[in-house]
Amino acid sequence: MKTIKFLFSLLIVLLVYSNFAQAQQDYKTVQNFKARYQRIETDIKSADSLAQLIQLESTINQFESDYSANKSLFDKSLYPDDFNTSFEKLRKELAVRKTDFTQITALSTQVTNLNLQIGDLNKNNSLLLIQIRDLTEQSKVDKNKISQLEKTIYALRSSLRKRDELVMDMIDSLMPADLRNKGTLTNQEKQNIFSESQKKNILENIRRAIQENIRFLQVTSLKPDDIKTIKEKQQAFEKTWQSFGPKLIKIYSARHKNVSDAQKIDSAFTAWDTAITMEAWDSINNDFSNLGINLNKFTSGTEFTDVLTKYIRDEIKNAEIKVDSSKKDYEAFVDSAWFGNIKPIWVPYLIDNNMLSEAQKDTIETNIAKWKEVVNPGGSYLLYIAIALFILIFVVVVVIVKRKPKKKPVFEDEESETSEPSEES
Amino acid sequence: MKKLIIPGLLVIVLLAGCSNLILKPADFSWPIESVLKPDKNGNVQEKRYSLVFDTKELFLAETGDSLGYQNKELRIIRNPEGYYFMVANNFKNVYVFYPSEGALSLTNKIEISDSVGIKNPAFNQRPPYIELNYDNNKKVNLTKDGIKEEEK
Repeated sequence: MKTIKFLFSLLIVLLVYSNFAQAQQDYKTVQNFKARYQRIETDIKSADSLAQLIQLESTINQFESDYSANKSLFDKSLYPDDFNTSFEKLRKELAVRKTDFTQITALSTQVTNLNLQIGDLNKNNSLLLIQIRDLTEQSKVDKNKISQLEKTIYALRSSLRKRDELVMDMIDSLMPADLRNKGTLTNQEKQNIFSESQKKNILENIRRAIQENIRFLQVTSLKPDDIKTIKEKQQAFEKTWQSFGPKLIKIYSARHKNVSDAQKIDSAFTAWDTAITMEAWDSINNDFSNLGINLNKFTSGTEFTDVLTKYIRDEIKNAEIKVDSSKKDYEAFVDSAWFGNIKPIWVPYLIDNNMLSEAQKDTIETNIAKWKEVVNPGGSYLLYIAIALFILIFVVVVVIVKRKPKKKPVFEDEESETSEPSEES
Repeated sequence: MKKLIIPGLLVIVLLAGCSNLILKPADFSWPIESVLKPDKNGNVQEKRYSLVFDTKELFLAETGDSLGYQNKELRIIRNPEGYYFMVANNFKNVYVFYPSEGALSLTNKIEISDSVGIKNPAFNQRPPYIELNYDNNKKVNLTKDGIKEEEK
């Protein structure tokens, strides 16, 4: 009985519906079509995955099939488009979005690989840093360890460079140049960047890259060329961060997540820059130390000049007391350290990077000259005599050459003829 | 005098020819009705067909209220002959207009209901007629002259 009642009700509903359908308004049909069209367009734009887009493909097919009976009405009323071009447009939008997702999928795979590689390199770097620290200690006792230390440092430097490049690639894939240069990002773009940066652990990777570079500087003693290369890398890295960091901080701020971590990256870059500057001063101090010259720590051009000047003045004062060792100290400092290493290798770097002025260099050299006077009092007098003697010899040679009578040009035969009798005589 | 007759006749024939120049057939029909909301001055604008006109007099004629256009929607469609059919919710009549110099002139007023205004009216283009749907399940075919009686 209940079934009969249900079927009867269903029949009434169907009759009413069919009557209504017959009295359907064209205007309403078109409006419904437009509304459904717009919904699908929105779904295409806001799709989060390729799977959703594939699903939408069948939705579009169904949509087209549902309304194809009224094709002629839509051809006239969807001005300036018609039924077919409307669906062509919709499918084109879908295809474009699909391409985006295909690229995103490819990039995600790439990023996963990058993550794995970065993880491996991070582990490797940590081990190498420990090895360097141990080898540095051992090499002080065992000189054979020095070459091993150098090899390990080289390996670490290569590993760091590779890891840093991977982190940069990761940043590029997170926010390509066109997005970085874009004034305002859409909410969708912001959301994508946020979720991708979370997945890629981007802040942690950048922070770690900076920290390990700083540690590398702390455990190694480098030459100006190495420092120059590291500085260039630091500047390129920082430039990349500045091009997308502020946008990333804004995105994090809006979501109240990891804001302080993002902000700390800025200060980490400053710390890295300071570490590079410090590395130069520490390496110079280390070079002096390797020659047995122990100087106080210096961290700027002024301190460097003061420390060296004070050292020289102390040496001048003590010259009379330690007569024997004074000359050795002088040779170690001036000949081996200053003229042998610091001046040709480090001073140009310091001056180029505005870490030392010409005037400060002159001050050090003036003091060196004073020290020289003390250690070798006759030295300069003898030098003047040597120079004067050299000039005198030069003048005498010139005068002799000028006073010699000029020979007339002769043929070879004549010369040989005339020369033969003289030889005999 | 005779010399003037022939050129004069030629001029008359030419002028007569110009005034009777007709381009046909022409189809003015809109595929679907437009639903337009009068602005605060009572004007409606149909962007696709570049049509703008004042609806105040129409609403006044139908409702007797000079502000009857406010918060209303006017439904309008044009038949193949070029006549405009207009109706709105609670109207008793469909108004038929034809364009004249800078105006739309009423050519017919078709009574749909004599007692109460019709509900949910909507036009469909069903050449040669304009179909009017109303009161959710009623429909009539209209021409510029009135309701087309269904053939028995």
